[in-house]
Amino acid sequence: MNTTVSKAKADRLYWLGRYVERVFISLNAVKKYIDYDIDGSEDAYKVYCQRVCIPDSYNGAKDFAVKYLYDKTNPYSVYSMLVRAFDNGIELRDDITSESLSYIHLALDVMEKCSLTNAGISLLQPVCDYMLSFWGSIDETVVEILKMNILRLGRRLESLDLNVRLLANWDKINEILKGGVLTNARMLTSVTDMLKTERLRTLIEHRSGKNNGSDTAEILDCINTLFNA
Amino acid sequence: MDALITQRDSVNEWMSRYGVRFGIYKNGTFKEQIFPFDPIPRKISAREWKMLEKGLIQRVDALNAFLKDIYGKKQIIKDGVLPEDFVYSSSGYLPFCEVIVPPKNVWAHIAGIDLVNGKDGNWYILEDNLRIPSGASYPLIAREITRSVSPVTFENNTVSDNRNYAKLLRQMLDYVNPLDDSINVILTPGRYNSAYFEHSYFAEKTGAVLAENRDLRVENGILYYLGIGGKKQPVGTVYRRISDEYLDPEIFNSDSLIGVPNIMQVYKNGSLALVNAPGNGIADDKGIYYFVPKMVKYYLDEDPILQNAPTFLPFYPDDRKYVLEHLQNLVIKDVAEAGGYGVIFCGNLSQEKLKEIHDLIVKEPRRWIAQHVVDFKDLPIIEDGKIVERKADLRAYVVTGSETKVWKCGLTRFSRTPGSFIVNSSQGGGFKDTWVIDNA
Repeated sequence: MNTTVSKAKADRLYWLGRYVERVFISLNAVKKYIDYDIDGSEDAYKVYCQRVCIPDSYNGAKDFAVKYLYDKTNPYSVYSMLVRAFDNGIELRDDITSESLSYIHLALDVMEKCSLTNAGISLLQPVCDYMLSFWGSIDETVVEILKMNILRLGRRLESLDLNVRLLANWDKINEILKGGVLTNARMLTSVTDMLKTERLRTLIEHRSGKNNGSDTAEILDCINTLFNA
Repeated sequence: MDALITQRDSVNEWMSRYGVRFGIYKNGTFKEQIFPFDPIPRKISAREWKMLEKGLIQRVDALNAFLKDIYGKKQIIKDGVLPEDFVYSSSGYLPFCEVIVPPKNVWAHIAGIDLVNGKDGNWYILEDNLRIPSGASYPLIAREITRSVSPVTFENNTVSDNRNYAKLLRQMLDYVNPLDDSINVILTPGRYNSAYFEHSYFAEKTGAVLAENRDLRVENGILYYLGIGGKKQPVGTVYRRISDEYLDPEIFNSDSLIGVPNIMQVYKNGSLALVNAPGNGIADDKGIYYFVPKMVKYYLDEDPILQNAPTFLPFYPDDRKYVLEHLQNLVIKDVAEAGGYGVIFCGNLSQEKLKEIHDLIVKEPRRWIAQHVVDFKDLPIIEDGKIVERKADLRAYVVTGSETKVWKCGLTRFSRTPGSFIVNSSQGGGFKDTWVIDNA
């Protein structure tokens, strides 16, 4: 018998989807900014911090390249994101299977080992690989459509959020919206605010094809408040 | 076997990958740690297992009969087999459970019976665990991993398959479920419980829903699992991993933050099976343990197949005299303690300490039992790359639904300290798989 999902579990599924995607996108995105540092672009990381709206608490680019990745005490670090993914996943073993959860375990092991030597970001590539493996495993093993939709909604909203912040092309953002967010949100009417979903669609469609506009804050607000278990 | 030993690191990597851990509180801080796995299995021949199986079924059937009796007619007391002091003074006895009959008359659905194999070749029961026996998940997942890591080991050994444990649990949960169109739930106190891995793993494997108290509510005499959007589903069986005293703040400990208010009323009116039944603590009380062989005779009219470790009850004047005179040769156990705590090997104590124990026994004779040290067999383990011998026990799992069945495996726990008899994971022990060899 397919069971319903409790409020707490729905919340965890949603945030698991978001954090796994956040780890993946952040690692890929920050590479470029760390790379600028090689050429002496000391302020590149500041731009990154500004775009993803995290406090610049770093002592220069080199400090950022270490602490943004590995500082467990920094709630904005990639390590912390991964721990948050794990914290949600560990309580969902029966929903997402041990197999899927194992990829987060593996990613954490890599992160832990790399943090001991402050390894360069390239050595964190397995973390990205495990995040993708996680989604592959989820597709294969999670059979309950309700749970799958919540996870996917979390993933897509995170993708949308970071792509908006990192100034991705609006056509790409529109594709993310149409390719997943709208479908998932419309299948989860009991936990999504449909007015906000439609508003989000309107705003993003309006921005599509041009990269300027003053409604970014409203777009981000819609993204981050349309799910409510 | 060598193939499995050489793959030890690989096995441990898989254990880590699956998060096979247990939690422990040290200085008030929760820490999860790996439960050390040793690749050399304990082997039990099919012939020996058959004897164990018969003895375990007999023992658990007697314990179930005892629980039915003690919360009902109390004939065993009336017939003078068991002194009533041992019942009413036990912290495991719950007056609230008087005259409650659990669905399908099953009290001890999952029994974890701790045994040791003595050097004299006999198996002795050390303890019955009828409340929330844990640990079955470890050999279950260990087998899955070792089969995958070293298939040749299993091609060359005729090991009984142990992968039916989740099925046994599921069948039992369904059997005792009194409601149609309802779900089974595993009620966990949460992530920071020492056995959380097991709670979530069994939920995954049995198809039960892993729930915390906030996910459940009693309405109109039915327990519901609360879903999003106002949906709710009736719950027929709760495999609870919460102690009796925290289960229902309306009935037991009112400070409990992990229980479900009024769940005991639903249980009482027969609309819910609680696995294991509340009140079972009376039957696995260390003082009651002494009487279990007598229960076998009393309820089943059979001679016990499995023996207790030789035990004395200071409650009885003759036993007390013997215990006080032979303290140095005995192990003293506090009946209120568990998990390897409250166990005192008197042979290691100073005269001053012995006097302290002597006085405690005189003061509260009901609180203690005394046993001769069963010199149980050592098993080989790998330590720092070498094979060494360590003390090990066996926890066998007996599941009672429509019939009583013994899982053809078990948790073999070993001490990592040379000569130590304390095998508990909470005190640094490790575990190994238990193989029942089919053609032996």
